[in-house]
Amino acid sequence: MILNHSSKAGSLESNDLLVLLTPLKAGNGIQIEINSIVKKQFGNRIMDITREVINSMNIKDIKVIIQDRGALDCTIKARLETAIKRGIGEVNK
Amino acid sequence: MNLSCNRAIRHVNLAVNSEKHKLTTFLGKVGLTFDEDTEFSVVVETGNDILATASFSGKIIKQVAVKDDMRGKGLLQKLITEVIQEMNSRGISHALVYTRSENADYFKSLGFNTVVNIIPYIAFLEWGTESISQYTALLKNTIKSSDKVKHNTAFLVSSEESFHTHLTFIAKVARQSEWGYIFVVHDARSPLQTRKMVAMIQDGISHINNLHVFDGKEYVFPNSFPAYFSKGKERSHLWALVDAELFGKYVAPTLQIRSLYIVDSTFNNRPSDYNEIVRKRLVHWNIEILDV
Repeated sequence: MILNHSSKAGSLESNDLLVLLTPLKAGNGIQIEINSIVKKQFGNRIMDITREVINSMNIKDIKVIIQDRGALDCTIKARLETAIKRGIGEVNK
Repeated sequence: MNLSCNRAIRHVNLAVNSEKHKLTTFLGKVGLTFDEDTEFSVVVETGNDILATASFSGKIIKQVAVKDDMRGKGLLQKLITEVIQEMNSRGISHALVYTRSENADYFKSLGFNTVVNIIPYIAFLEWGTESISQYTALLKNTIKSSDKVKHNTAFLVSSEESFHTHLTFIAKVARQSEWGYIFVVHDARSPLQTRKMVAMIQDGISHINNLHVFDGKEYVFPNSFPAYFSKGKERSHLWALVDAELFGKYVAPTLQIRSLYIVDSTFNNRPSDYNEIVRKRLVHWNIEILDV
């Protein structure tokens, strides 16, 4: 699947996360940048979840920026999926 | 019985005079002005009243204000979320904030990193895909580690003027120094021009072994400093404090710079107060400023 345009989901609210997606030209791969208030403890976990969701939706080239404010795994997955679906065009903004 | 209040967040149509005027009035009440180069503004409103606002221009988030009685209700986070999302959709993923020191903690809680905080005057914070630590790492990559304490020289040039006239002088000074570092003052309004200048200088100095050139970006005496929360003398003081701190705290130690030449008219357009204060502050960092 290809991201057709920039998209976003979430917020900077406590326990939430902000997901910003930007499409990249084919071949640029997956670029993930994570900023989190609990980066030391959960940075890797957030990275793993992000890769999982992107791979499960078959996206090859994308830039992901995440600002996490202590979100649970389920929230991270949900925001990522929403942002991706918006970027593909499946969900109305 | 209280009706739940209807708070909506809305993009301001800056092209409509009445909207711009309403926002300007709100900002005026909290002692802020509306910078003419503002590209985008959001407000949180209830009915016809503005409760809070934030704007940006280029990479700089500015004109952030929340009505006193609306503090602590998560409005700042809503505003900044909206601003960052809009910046990102315009291809900007590095956000900068200059704010009074006492507000630094609010931005830190949202994930911003403090670059410098000159308490109690002003704090400079950033968020996103670029950072001051990435910049200093970039600078560090060009030097070889050594145990000797060095006395290196930096040169500040503008992106607008001709560099060739200064090349001879810079080369001469560089010969008397271990390393010479040329910083091109970043013009936020034309980053392309800045890049071109850096490339041109790179070409021009390629035959000189101990000279490097860098884009000053947001960190080395940048051209843009917001005017919305202070004016005149106060603004030039704050601007000078931040610039001197950035150079003295990050750039100079990384490259062991002890002298800084201001080449051509880089500082000519800046207020005299600014010039004076930058020099004084850099002396405290053991850096000598010289004019060409």
